[in-house]
Parts: sequence; C-alpha cells; structure tokens
Amino acid sequence: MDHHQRWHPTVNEREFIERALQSDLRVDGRRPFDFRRLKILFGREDGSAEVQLGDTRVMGYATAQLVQPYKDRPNEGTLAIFTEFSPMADPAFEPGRPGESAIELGRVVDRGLRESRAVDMESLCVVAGKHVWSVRVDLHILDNGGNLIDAANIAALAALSTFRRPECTVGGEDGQQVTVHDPEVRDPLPLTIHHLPIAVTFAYFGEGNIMVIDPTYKEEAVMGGRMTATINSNGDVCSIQKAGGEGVMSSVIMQCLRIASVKAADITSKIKNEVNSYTSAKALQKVKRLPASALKKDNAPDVAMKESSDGALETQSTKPSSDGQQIDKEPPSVVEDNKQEDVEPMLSECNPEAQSESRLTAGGSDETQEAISPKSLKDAVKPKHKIKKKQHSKS
Amino acid sequence: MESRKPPPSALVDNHVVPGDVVLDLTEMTNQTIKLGAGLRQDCDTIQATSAGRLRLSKPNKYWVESSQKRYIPSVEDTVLGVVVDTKPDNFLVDIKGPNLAFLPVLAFEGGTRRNIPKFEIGTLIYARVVKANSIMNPELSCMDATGKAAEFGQLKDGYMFDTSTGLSRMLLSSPTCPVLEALGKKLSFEIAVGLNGRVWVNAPSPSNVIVVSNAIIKSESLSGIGQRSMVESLLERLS
Amino acid sequence: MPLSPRRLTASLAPLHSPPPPRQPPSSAPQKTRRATTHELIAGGGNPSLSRQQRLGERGRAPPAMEYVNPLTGFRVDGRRPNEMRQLKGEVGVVARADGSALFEMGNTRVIAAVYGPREVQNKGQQVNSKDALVRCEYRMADFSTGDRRRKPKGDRRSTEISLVIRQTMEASILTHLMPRSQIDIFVQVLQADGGTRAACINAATLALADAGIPMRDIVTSCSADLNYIEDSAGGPDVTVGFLTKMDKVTLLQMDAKLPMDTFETVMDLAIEGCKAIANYIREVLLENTRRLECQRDH
Repeated sequence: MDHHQRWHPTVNEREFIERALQSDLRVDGRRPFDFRRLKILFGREDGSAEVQLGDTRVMGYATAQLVQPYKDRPNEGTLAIFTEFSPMADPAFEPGRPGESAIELGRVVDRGLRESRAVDMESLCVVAGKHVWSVRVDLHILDNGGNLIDAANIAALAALSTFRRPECTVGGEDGQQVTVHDPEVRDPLPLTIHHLPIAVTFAYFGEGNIMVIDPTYKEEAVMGGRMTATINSNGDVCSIQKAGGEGVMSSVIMQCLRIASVKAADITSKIKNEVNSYTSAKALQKVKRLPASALKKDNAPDVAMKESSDGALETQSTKPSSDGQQIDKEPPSVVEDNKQEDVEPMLSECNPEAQSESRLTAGGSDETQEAISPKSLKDAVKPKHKIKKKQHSKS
Repeated sequence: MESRKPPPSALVDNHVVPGDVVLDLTEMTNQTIKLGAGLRQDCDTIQATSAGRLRLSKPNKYWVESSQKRYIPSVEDTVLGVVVDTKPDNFLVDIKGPNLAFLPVLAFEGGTRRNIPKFEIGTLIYARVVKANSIMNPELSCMDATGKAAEFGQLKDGYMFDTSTGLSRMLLSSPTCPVLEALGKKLSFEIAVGLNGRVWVNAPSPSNVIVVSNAIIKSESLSGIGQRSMVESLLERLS
Repeated sequence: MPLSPRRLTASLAPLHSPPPPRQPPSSAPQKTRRATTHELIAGGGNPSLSRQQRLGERGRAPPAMEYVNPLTGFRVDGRRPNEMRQLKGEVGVVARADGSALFEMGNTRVIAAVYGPREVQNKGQQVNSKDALVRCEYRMADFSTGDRRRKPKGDRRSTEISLVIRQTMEASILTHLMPRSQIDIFVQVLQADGGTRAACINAATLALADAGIPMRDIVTSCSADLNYIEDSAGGPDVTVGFLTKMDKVTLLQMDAKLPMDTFETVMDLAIEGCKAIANYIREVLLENTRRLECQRDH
C-alpha cells in the first residue's frame, strides 16, 4: 500500500497552513523567518557531530585516508559527501540505493562546500601526485522533520570543523615515504577551513509571494517550490539550488538572499561557539592525562628525526630559512586569519592549564616543522602553483 | 456470576509489562472475566502483552491502558479518518490502523445511491468504528446507532494534527482535562478528538487554532498543574 | 522543413549598479551593449566541454587563453561577451513520440521526446490522483563529450538533472488538467559544449508544446558565465529557468563564490538570455503551426 510511503496532508492541513501563512503565522508558532531550535552535539571522537533542527536529526561523520590524487589536480586533497537516507527516518525513504532527494541533498551540500573552496584542499596534499588526504563526510539522516538540507549542511560543517587528521611526515631516500604518526604521539591536525557556507532553505507558497525559511515536513508537503541558498557570513553567495517548482520574481530571490545572509551569520557564530567549547573541553581532558602524554611527546621528535634524518639534513643544508618561511606562508593570508580566529580564542578561553598545554603543543609543532622539512617536495610544488595564481590574477 | 465477587487482580492500577501474570485462573472458578486490549489468556493465567497501566472496570473488565502512535481499531470508537481512495461501494479511509478502513458510501444519514457524497482525496472525516476484527478491514459509519448523522461526517476547515492514542483518550476524559479547561476559559474553539490519535481544531482566527493545537501537543508529557501553567504562559505570550 | 538558424543577443546590465528598466522583450534581440569594465558572458559560452569536465579543469592551470581577449573584446569563439550562441530549434524530430524537438545552442545539441498524457504505468509512483504524473529521464550520450567513456546510467549528476528538468517543466505544465495520467519526458544530450541543462529545458519546452500538453507559460532556460574578477578560478555559472509571461524564475542553480550584487547582475543577464530564447522558441512554434496549416490546406 503505497499511500503509507509518503506523507500526504489532509485537505484541512493544506488549506490551513496556507491560510495561516497569509497572516504570517506558521502552525508550529514560528514567524516566517525563524529557524527551529538548533542543537549541535559532538561525539566522543573528533569529526563526528549530530545536528538537531527541531525534529530533524542528522549525523555527520568526517574521516580521511591517504589516496592518490586525481591526475588533473596532483597537489590537492579531495572532499566527498555521502548521504544515507535510512527508511528508519521516514517511511518514504526507500531502502537500498539512494533516491532522488538523497542525491540532491548530497550534491547541494557538496557544491556549497567544494565550489566555494571552503576547505583548503592544497593543505591536504602530502606528496604531490602521490599521496593526498581524501576527506569523506558521511551524512546520516536519523529523523526527517523537514528541511534536511540545512540540517545536513550544518552537520557536515560541524563534523569538518572538529575533524583532525593524523599528522604525517615525508621521508625516506627518495623523499616520498610517508610516515603517518599515531595521534597519541603527535597531535592530529585540524583542517584549514576558509569560511563556513551555510545553507538556508526557503519554501514558497501561493503564487510564490509567500515564503518561509526552514520548512517543516508538513510545510514541505504543501509548498509550491523551494530554494536553498548557501551563503557565508561575509554575504558571499556560494551556491543556489532552486530545482524548478513555483516561479518566483527575481526581486524576491534577492530579498531571500539578503535574509539568508543574516541567518548565515547567526548560524556561523552558533557553529563556531559550539566547536570552540567542544575543542576547549577536549583540550581540558588532555591536560588531565598530560603526564603520560607529555612523556611520549618528548620522545616523539627523536623517532621522527631518525625516520627522516637523511632528507632533513639535505633540505636544511640547502635552504633552511626560506623553507621555514614557506611553511608559514603555506595557507593564503585569509586562511591565516581564520585559523587564528578558530584556534586561538578556544585556547585562550580555557584555563591556564590548558594554555600551558597549548604552548607545549606549539613547541612540539615547531620541532616537527623542522622535522617535516623533507616535505620539500610539496613545497617545491607550492611556488609553482603560486606563480600560476599570480599569472591568472594579472589577466 | 453475581453471587461470588471475583477478587480483583493485585496489579490493578499498577504498571505491567509484557509477560506479567495479571490473574491466576486456577484460583478462580465459575467466574467470567472480560479481557480488553493488552491482555491474553495463556493456559491458566492472564498475561499482559503490552506495557502500560492495568485497569479494571467493575465488576470484571480488565485492560491495559497504554499510549501508542498507531491505533488498533475497536468497535464503537470514534475516529478521525482521512480519505485515501474512492471505490464504487466504499471510501477507503486511513485511520492509522494496520489496515485501511472501509466507509460504505451509503453509511450516511438518509444515504441512498442518489446522494453519495463526493469526497476528494485527503478529506478529513469524523466517524464511528462499527466493525473491527483481525481478518477484515475495519468498517466505519457516519451515523450513530439510531441512524442519525449526529456530529459525524466531513470536517471542513480547521487544522488536524497527530497525537498519541493516550493523549486523545486524555482529551476525551471527563471531567474535562486541564489543558482544554484552561484553554476554554480564554478562547473559543471547536475540537474533534479521534481515539485513533488525531485531533481537529477550528476557530475563527488562525492564531487561536495554532495556540490551541500547540498547547495540546505540548500537554502530552505534562501533569495537570503543568498543563495549566503551560497554557497560561502560552496565552500570556499571545496577548 | 527545418528553420534557419538565427543569431541572437541579450541585452546587458552594467555591473554594480541597479538593473536598468527592462527593455521590452521584442527589442532585446537587436540591441547589443558592451560592458566596459567587466566582461559578462551569456549562454554558457565556456569553451570547455561538459560541466563535469569544466569542474575538472578548475584549479588546474588557467586556460591558456583568456575568456575575453582584452584587445579585441571578443571571446575565444569570436563572440562578443554578451552575445548568445546560435540557436536552432526544430520540432517533430522523433516520429514515434507524441512530441519531440531538437534544440541547439552553439555546439550543444539536445534532443527531447515527450510521451503522454497516457495511462500511469506504475501506480506506485502516482503521488496523487488530482494531477498528472510527470517523469523525466536525462541521458548524456556516450559520444557527447570528448572522452568516450561509458558512463553508468543513473549516476548522481544525471539523476539530479532529471529531477531539476522534471520540476522545472512541472512549473509550467497544467498537471491538474490531466489527472490520473502520466507524461514522460526523455532528454538526450547528443553533443555537450556547456549549458546542457539549459538546452535540455528549452528542448523539453518545444517537445511539450509539440505534444500539445497544456502549459501556463513558456519556460526557457539560459546560463550565464562570468569572468570578471581576475583571480576567480574557473567560470562561475548561473543557470536560470524562466517563465516568460509570468516574469518569474523557476529554476536557479549556481555554484562558486560570488558577492551578492555580482550575482544579481549575472542572474539578470541570464534572465535576459531566457527572454531572448523565449522569443526564438515562440517563433519556432508559430512557424510550425503555420506549416501545419499549410499542409492541411493542400
């Protein structure tokens, strides 16, 4: 019996939802441009987040592995979004292969993140043309209360913001041997995230002149059309998806974008706050078991040096100073700002103990930077790329 | 049966879980007991099959009161159904049960072949269950036992939302449950409650409909006092 | 008798200023204004092949040639920045189908066939009995792009495009006039050279009109490419589906980061393109009607 599969509103619900909207009322008591209550929870492991948007629940899980890069982008890592629409969350979801809506959701989230270059891909390169990090975000829909795209997008951002990839160094005689370090020995590294593209979904009713944001599943069943605008807190439009449906005046679209940019700023700060409190809590936890890890840390550089001593000497002798600078410069200037924003407040917010820990790690990373210097292969690729960029910017 | 009063189960008004022995029949002879929902006979014992509170209606009716999202049809329940299809003889109506219910096209007051009502798909109907067993689809009627329309039939306008069966039973209990009493003091509205966990609310202004329906949805997990204070704070925000 | 191809241009709004009062659609095709400070490109004029391939190019070394030659002001394929590619539309190209059309935008060639309204084949797919069920299948021919790789049927990209085309066509089809029936739209890309999804929608509109499916408006689509900030890698591209008479946007797809006011300019440019295409489609349909009348008379 197929009528059980997809939820259909009664005539009464359909008419009432539209009538109430004409006087700016929504059946759950919200105003047209209110989001439902947003809750972001983090798992025990880095890179896992659960987002609750009203009744909608989505889990995001980021993982990474070393792979060979694509031929046309030898010095960039990859990012892929996978979606899982389990029939558990909504009987309309078919078990087995992903349906249309699962594919659309995945592609909208994917485009918002990738085409706007939100995650720095070049810093995921280990050995150009050989080894890059491939980041994978799995989005599991746990409960469909409507507006899955926005919730899934936030889940992906929260998962990526807390994700840490293991640090790895390049060594060996050919300078191409990759050593992946145990997270216990060397602190894993966060991703470089330039900006957070926030998806804000609008539902259109009537002749396309009534609109609301963050529609519930009831509103989605009644709406005539939908548009998802992915916008960051600077007001840059990163992606737009309006896949047909009720037509809307172009002036209304611009109005939506302006509303979306305000909402995007709200949600960005919400995500940043949650991520910061999670990371500082995590740092505190580490401090508690510092004695053991500190001992390990002291040993760590030695091990690393042994592994990569040949390469390290080589490059250090050739151009030690410039190398160090380049590592500093590695991410574009915008990134550096962001990085400071992301990392420093969270460390300064937590108590002195944590700060001492941060200094410890900072010291550690200085050492590791020297040890990494055989990364020169990657650095060798870098300048070229920069030149390319400059050329392009002249045109 | 009347001569000897059966001793009530010790568990009456207590919580039971599936498998709990409610009554031991070996100690009871020549007595009649009636079993309602959530109970079954296993040899010499009466056992619970669902979790909830055991209820006894004197002298001998037992059932387990619980709250679900799904509805198991039972004769004489009043339900809110949604028309999902029209056949020559019946409307097929979704009542949140395991099967679609049949509403004969003639089961209306004065219904003849000439005046069959036209219901589009998605029409909301207030009806009475007249036939319910596990082998046939349940049957509904839009007439009371005397053949009058009473309040049954199509519900127009207003707003419908889903609740648990427990909540809809609470809304129908007498004396009037606190949430409806508190709302009724301040607002005027129409309400129809189906025992299958559906509630329909109508009022002249949409905002009142929204307030009433949200108050009812929120009262699911609240005590009587909690319901009253919730309604008060909700109405305060409105004014 | 196939129609002769025509050259069309879209009027252009200067950047960073409110869009000028819209010219009446009839005058749009003749007028051409040049943008001086920034270059805008209409009609998906990227010299790359499919969208997928274009994505692949992004981040690699920028193309050796600029999109717009700063000296001559012409694009690599010789067009002016705001000049649309050659359009060609032809109806009735598939004999078995109830309606069909071939649509070309430059080197992009798309064929669309419509079957219906007919009995619903799979009752399970019927969403409600009040409206016709519209289905769409988008296919990209294996030989349509440079690399002749066999692409799996129903990959994520074509599933999404199928969804997009279906919902865009649903915005114009009067589905409530054909309850309990089904309309199938098959779209096949024969040659891909950018702007395939726009071409698909235009072909589908022609095919639906050819099949006599009642529509509330003509929906056309056009994509606009933009190459204005020097360092923006790749060509951000905006695809718009537009209901001409209602003056409303039904389809809007964009990716790559853009400031909001720039986006507005690009969207307006794409809308102008849609209007020009709508004029062309209108003429194709009128021509076709006249031809049919002629045939009847003889």
